[in-house]
Amino acid sequence: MPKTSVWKTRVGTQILMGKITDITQIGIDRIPCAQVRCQMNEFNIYLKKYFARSFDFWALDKTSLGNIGDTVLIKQIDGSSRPKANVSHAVDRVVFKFGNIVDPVTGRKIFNDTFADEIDLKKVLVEEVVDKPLEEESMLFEERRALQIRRLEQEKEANV
Amino acid sequence: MPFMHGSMPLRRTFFYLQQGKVKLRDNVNVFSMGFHKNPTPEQSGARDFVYWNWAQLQYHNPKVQLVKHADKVVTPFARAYLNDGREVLFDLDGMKREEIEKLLAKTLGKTELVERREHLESIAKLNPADFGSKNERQCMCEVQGQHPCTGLLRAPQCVTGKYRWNHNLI
Repeated sequence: MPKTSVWKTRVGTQILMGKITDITQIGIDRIPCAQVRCQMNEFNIYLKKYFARSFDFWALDKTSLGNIGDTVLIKQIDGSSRPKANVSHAVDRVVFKFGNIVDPVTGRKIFNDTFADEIDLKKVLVEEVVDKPLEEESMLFEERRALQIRRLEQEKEANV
Repeated sequence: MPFMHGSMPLRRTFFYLQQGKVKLRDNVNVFSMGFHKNPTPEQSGARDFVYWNWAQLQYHNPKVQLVKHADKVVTPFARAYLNDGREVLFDLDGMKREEIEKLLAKTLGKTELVERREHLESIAKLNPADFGSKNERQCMCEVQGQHPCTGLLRAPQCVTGKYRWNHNLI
């Protein structure tokens, strides 16, 4: 019987995805480095379930691509180009910018689980879509709301 | 007692983990997936895939880093990063769980020929003379003609280490 029920993760460290938790500068040249927290799944043979466990890697960031909170892709660099022994990776690209999430499929900016341009469209059309049905006083709330939604859909189709 | 109800007794078995069909290629290093915890009907396929097939995917691809992006973007997506830095992006909007599984197995999975060749290579590596905790034969005493374990039957003095190397000093 092993001492623990957890199978250690076997994820290769060649290319990893993680979140930047810290940024510092090293050496006399003050080279920017990012501490990237990468999650890997470890298997518990007693529960037959995978648990995510985080590992911290230091990654070179010579062009200051990432900021704290960004989700980045880091690549392992060979020993000769490492400025320090524990800096084993380099930031390759930023996958998700913190506070500026872009949908990878449609390329549109996301704000609070909604597309940002749809919010802008609603803001522009608020007078035309929302206020005009208010003038007809006899309508109930649900009818008024349905009319507003229908007008908004028409404006969306007109804009596309 | 709650373990007997619902989907938990199905998902927490080795048999279930071995049923996974998606075996990614060797050049896939990172596989990330964006899904929603409270999905709309268009997003429920990705959510079901993560719920049912994520553990199977990790079990069959232990060297691939699997990353979840929950409630981050509107459209459910899957993105794989290959060795040479290229990305493969999947749009999973409006797809069912079975369709997602087939799509991944078709686009990024190993072909049947590759799987068969790897299986045959692993068979060729087996040596029937090996024994130990990571081999088919756990202990040498299982072989007919070998001396049983000394916990069961005392060994003659001439083959014990205490006699052969320590000269019975203790």
